[in-house]
Amino acid sequence: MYSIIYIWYSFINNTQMNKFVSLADARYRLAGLSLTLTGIILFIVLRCLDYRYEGNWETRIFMINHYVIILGLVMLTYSKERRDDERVQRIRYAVLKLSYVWTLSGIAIYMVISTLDRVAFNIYWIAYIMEGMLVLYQILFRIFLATNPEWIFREGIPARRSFLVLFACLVFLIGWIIYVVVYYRVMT
Amino acid sequence: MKNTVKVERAKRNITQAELADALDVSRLTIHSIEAGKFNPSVQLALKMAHYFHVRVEDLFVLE
Repeated sequence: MYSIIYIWYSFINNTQMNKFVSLADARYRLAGLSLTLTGIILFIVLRCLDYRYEGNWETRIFMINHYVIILGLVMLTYSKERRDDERVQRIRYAVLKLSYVWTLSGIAIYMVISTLDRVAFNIYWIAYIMEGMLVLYQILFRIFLATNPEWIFREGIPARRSFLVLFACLVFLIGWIIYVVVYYRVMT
Repeated sequence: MKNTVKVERAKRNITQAELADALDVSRLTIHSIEAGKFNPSVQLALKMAHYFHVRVEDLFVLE
């Protein structure tokens, strides 16, 4: 939600996020990285040990594990770089849009090729999608920071176009969910 | 937009890293500006012009 407000704010103000300074300080990156790595190591260890848990404790423990990973990734995503200048902000803005569009497109395509009754809507899926999107963001952000691709800095139409694609994906996804839920309610 | 940042930097014999430190940006930002990949904001362009003691329109020229 925060990211959508982030993109929306920069779009309506046409600032490319130059004036949006509510990111956390650079030192939170280290905390975020530590949390993420701790979560991932815990996840691997828990999977390797393959404990038998009583009641719903397995779900609870793994969900706490996912919360730690997601919290770490969010801290990594929403903290500044050491030198957070306008080039970095431009890249961040472009990569945020890209990772949102790709994730939403992926979900939309998956929902179209399958049907809602076959989609496992458990809490793990939501955690995996969030983690996947944040990891995708981190990978693309680091690659683009190092490679400096020219297309990111092109101004005008591409920025507007990618926002419209993102908006279309969101509308499509919401519309599809409403359609399928209504369809199943009426037909069953 | 063309710029003469590289020329001005060469005249003063300073590295990209030194210029980046002086302007509080990353070295890659200076590299991107020199390569013509990235157009800086008015604020950064003014800071650069002030640093080199030249006018902004001498540093950045519309093609």
